[in-house]
Amino acid sequence: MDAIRTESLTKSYGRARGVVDLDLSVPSGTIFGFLGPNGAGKTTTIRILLDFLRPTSGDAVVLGLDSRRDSVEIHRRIGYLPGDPALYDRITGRDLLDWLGRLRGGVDRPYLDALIERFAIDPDRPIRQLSRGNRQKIAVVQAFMHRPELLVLDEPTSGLDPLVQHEFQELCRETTASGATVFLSSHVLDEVQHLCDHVAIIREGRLVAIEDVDAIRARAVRDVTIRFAGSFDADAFAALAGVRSVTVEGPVLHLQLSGNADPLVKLAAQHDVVDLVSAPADLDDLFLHYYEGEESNGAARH
Amino acid sequence: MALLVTERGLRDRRRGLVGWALGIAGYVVLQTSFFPSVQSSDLQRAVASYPKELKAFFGGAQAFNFSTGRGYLEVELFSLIIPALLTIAAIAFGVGALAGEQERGTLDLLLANPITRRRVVAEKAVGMGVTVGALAAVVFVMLLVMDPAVDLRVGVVNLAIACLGAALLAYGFGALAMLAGAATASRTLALAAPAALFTAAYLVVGLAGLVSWLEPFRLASPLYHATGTHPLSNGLPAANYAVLFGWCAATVLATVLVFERRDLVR
Repeated sequence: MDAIRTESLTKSYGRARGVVDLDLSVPSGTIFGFLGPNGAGKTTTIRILLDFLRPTSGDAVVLGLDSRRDSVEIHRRIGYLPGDPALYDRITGRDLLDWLGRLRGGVDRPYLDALIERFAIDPDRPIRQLSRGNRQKIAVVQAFMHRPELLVLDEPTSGLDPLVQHEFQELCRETTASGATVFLSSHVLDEVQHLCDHVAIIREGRLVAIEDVDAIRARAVRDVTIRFAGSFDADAFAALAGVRSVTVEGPVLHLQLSGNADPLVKLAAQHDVVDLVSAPADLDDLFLHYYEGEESNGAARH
Repeated sequence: MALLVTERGLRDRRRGLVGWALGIAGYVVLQTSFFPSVQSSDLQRAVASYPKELKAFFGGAQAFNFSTGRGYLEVELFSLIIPALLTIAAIAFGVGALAGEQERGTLDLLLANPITRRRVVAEKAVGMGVTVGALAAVVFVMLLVMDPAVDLRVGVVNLAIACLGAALLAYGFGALAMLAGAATASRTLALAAPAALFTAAYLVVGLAGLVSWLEPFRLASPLYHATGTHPLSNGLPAANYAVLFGWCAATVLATVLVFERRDLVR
């Protein structure tokens, strides 16, 4: 059974773009990445799943339950991390987590204490005195503390330092290993690549592609910068498969690479390479890729 | 089931509530301590020479009876100040209840729990009732305490009647703040709507004494039902309570209906 399934889900409102005809299925027991640039409709979709927003048309089914009719039961069985979460900040972290636990009819105390320790949360300071990263850690813990069947996490790692991000990813893996499902949104391709079993990409409210992570990685564009000691032939680099946007600044070559890096490295190796930087795939470039595909299709029709 | 949302709201406002209570208590003490000197002064005669339009706005000659404790309290506390203070406190609560939580973003955290929106509104309404009730009780208790000291002879029953009327009035405007917040998610509008209505309701009651065609309209003003008939001296008819209760209940109910249907956009 799918943990989340949407059918022709559409939400249009105000000036915001909303979502259009979204068909999404999130298999149980997986970590599912919902990827898209800011404003693409990720948060809108998540808020429909939570019954904060009501769809204009279409359905959203969460854990086999209707998002509108069964929202209380859905809330009982999921953990939710809002994007850029606001906490009741006049109280301490422990008081907040206790209170949220009571709203859920009690929590597994040892598990909560273990999570607090694991994320090195200072539970006894008023939340308003904590840094953004420390608040985010509390927000992460409140989503996991009642061992929900499904986690709906909106940009979970924003504000977390790399060490905590790693801990968060471990927690996601453990959680899915025990049978739960993690659905997380992100605009960071790297994060999704390393963590998720499946990825859906959304742009301007529409689903772009559902495919496995490796395929996305293969299509992903990397920014490559090579500094040479001597002269080189930029045209030769531009002629390589998967290379585009070649620019030259004196001894430095900039280009964008998609797919296999081997031909580029072999060609570069024929020269005296001073430095080589391959920047992590940038989501905007990935989307540029899709845009261009769409536009050339459009141009062909004219 | 425990009222956890009510509890959170009251705990987070604890300091503000204590401040309000101290301020109101101090004001009551200050105002009542002037009574003996006002009673023995020539103020009553001075009032007689006030322009009749001025007297009419504030409820006619009867409204300026400084010779009795009831008359004095009516003018100085219950015609405007106490209802206004309670109303401001109630509106502050009502603004924070839904619009405030949504603007800060904490509403997401709250509504992601297994709790209906209806229940959230109901628990907030209870919290507002506790807040307004506690402040009205402060007025009641402080006047009982001051009564023997300055010889007000106000009477426990009439005092309770006047305090309850003021509390219901305040609660209704607080509920309007909640309703406006539920409908718009804007703290500004949640504040402005009931504040404007309170002002209009006050003006209608006052001007109805001056302009005869306005007189029927004062029945539309909750202030008239709570304070317009000098409850400290005359008590308050059951019909007035019914109107005030009905107004509060209808506003809370409307808040539930509006809030349940609203898209909660971030």
